[in-house]
Amino acid sequence: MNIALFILTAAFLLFSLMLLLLPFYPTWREWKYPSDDTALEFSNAAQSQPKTGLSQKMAHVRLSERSTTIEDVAASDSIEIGKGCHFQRLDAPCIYFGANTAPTDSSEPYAALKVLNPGNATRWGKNGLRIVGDFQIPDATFYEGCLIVTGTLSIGDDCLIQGDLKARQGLRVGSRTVIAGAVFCDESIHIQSDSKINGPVLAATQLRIEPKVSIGTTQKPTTVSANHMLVEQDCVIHGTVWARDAGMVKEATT
Amino acid sequence: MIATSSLAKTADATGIKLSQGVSSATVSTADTYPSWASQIASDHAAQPLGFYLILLLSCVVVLMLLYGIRQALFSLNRLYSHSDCIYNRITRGEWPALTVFIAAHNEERVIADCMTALLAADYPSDKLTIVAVNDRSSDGTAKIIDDYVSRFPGRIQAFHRSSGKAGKAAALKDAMQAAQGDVVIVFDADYTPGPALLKQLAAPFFDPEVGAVMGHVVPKNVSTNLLTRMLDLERSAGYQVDQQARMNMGLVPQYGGTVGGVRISAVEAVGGWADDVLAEDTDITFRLLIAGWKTVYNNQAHCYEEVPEEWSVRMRQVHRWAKGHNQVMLNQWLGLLTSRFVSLRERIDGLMLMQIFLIQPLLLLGWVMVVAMYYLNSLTLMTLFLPLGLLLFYGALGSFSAFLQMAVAVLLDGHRKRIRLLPIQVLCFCSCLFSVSSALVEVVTDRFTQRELVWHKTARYRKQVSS
Repeated sequence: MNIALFILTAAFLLFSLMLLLLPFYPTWREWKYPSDDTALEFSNAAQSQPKTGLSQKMAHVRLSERSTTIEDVAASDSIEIGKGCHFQRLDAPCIYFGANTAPTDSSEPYAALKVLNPGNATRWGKNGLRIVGDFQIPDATFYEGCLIVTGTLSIGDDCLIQGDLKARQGLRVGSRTVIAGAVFCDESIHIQSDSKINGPVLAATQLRIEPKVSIGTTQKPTTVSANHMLVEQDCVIHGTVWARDAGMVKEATT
Repeated sequence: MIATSSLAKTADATGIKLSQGVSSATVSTADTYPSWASQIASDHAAQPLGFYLILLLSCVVVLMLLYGIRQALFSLNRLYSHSDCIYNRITRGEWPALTVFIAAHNEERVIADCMTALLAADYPSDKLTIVAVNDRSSDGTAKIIDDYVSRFPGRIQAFHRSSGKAGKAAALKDAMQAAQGDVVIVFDADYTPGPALLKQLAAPFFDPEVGAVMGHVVPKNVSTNLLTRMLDLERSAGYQVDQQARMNMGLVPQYGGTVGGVRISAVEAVGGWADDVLAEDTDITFRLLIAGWKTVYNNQAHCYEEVPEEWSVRMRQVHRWAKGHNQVMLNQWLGLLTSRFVSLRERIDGLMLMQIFLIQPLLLLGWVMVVAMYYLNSLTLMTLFLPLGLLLFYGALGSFSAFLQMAVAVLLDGHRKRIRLLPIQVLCFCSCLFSVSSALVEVVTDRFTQRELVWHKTARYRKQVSS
């Protein structure tokens, strides 16, 4: 009886030991006979320009109205994309959306900004301000410096902003406003008509661009990107436009 | 037993009803307290030392459980959430003026490769300044740097430092005077950045809220020995899962001191580089966070590094990290708790990140306490403060979640067979226990003794001096 119990106990211990050591067998094999010991590979190449369904060597690319979705298009001179077209990534010195007329320059004088010192503003970096909550810049205002708003930023019409902007919950750029800097938002951006922005313009969710907006310049191309983009007619963007999920040129309503 | 008449009055006053048939003479004080409180009181009276041990052990278990849940959440986030660094979409723009610092102390074996790689970077040359910081090197580092400066005039500058405080942080602090523009990228000399890397690291700085950026460090010498393979797993979990999940969840990605960059105006706004901590990268991460700046982690910004190939080197490295991290914890914890720029989730994650190198000493302490309780015959008190279910949950999740992170990392990397090495990762963990614990002790004693910090350079393994 004792011998039987001893044997049973020994067998159980041996079995338990085997279960404990079993996971180490593949470990030992991988250590002694490595099958996966190379460094993680990644591309060291320079940033890739869009691969294109159309030749990158084309100077001008014209996408007619209501074309099927274009994924990647690049041109060395210009791209014209008609109303109703769907796109993802476009790259060219000039990209015209539903173009009929080029956006016009605004040369209106701008009123000096009165001291921007809302109760919740703090100095930010070299010459910036950080504002907690929502903030509205009145019409016809000049502001120099970067601006970070933790809520929604609304910029009035006919403003001149020299600096980079960041809003966390939404950003609206009024008509005929000029922004000499980057525009970032953790939510959506709405750019109203006739505005000019140097760029880059990046929205985490949606970007809506109204007619006759100009972003970037031929000499200083930039990047415009959002998950979803809706661009209206007569806009021009210089550089790269990237709608990660879907982009569309709005059809005319009349 | 209190006098019957006064008990009766007390019972009436408090509304306690005496059971029918039970005379007031039989009411005892214990019946006026909840049963669990009575249990605690009696256990405390019976085994006071065991009582305090289990109280402390319960705190340790709860803390470990919180970290286990945190790591598990990160793993789940990486498995089921979409990760997208929107700054990677910036392919065109007016790129900011960039200064790249190469930190070098006795790096003759590796620095030439680093400089060559940076010269080939895809970045507007008129916006790029490369500064090789020679920090009191006694080997051929200075000669190699000067040779490159003469061969590539205007593209590489030399900053030779022959005196001053020891350490990378002090060297960078002094070298900042050579910075041009508002953005600085830092590389250690053993890194070989790819052509696209500088743009990937510079892109987030278009966002005026970004104060620092960190790339994805990948070990190159993986196949050397078992240690390098284990460190590869560890790095993979740390970057592919931990850093990226923190970025996805709006928590606290960390600037790692190399393959990363900072905005100079942000650093100046928070008081500049600290040269009295071993982990200047962790220090600047938290100071920027406390002041409201964001740190961005870019998982696509890869760069190769050399990991230690010897256990002694590894122990020193971990010791330095742990000591530096704990220094930052002691310096910055109050600022993080009281900052008005930090969201609640950032505050919680920041505190947990600060205390990450306390886990191993606490684990060691827990083991010691359990053994002590065994010999004090107090193990029966184990469930006094913790329900059994919670202990079992800790047993299942607490230790498992760290390995889950590694498993998720190898899955995402596409190197699935490395998962076979997971069981032996325990060896790596246990080897660091005493190193990390001693670092904590040193940090505390250094506070009292005011001892100056000592910087131990990590050994390099490349065999030939490149030219």
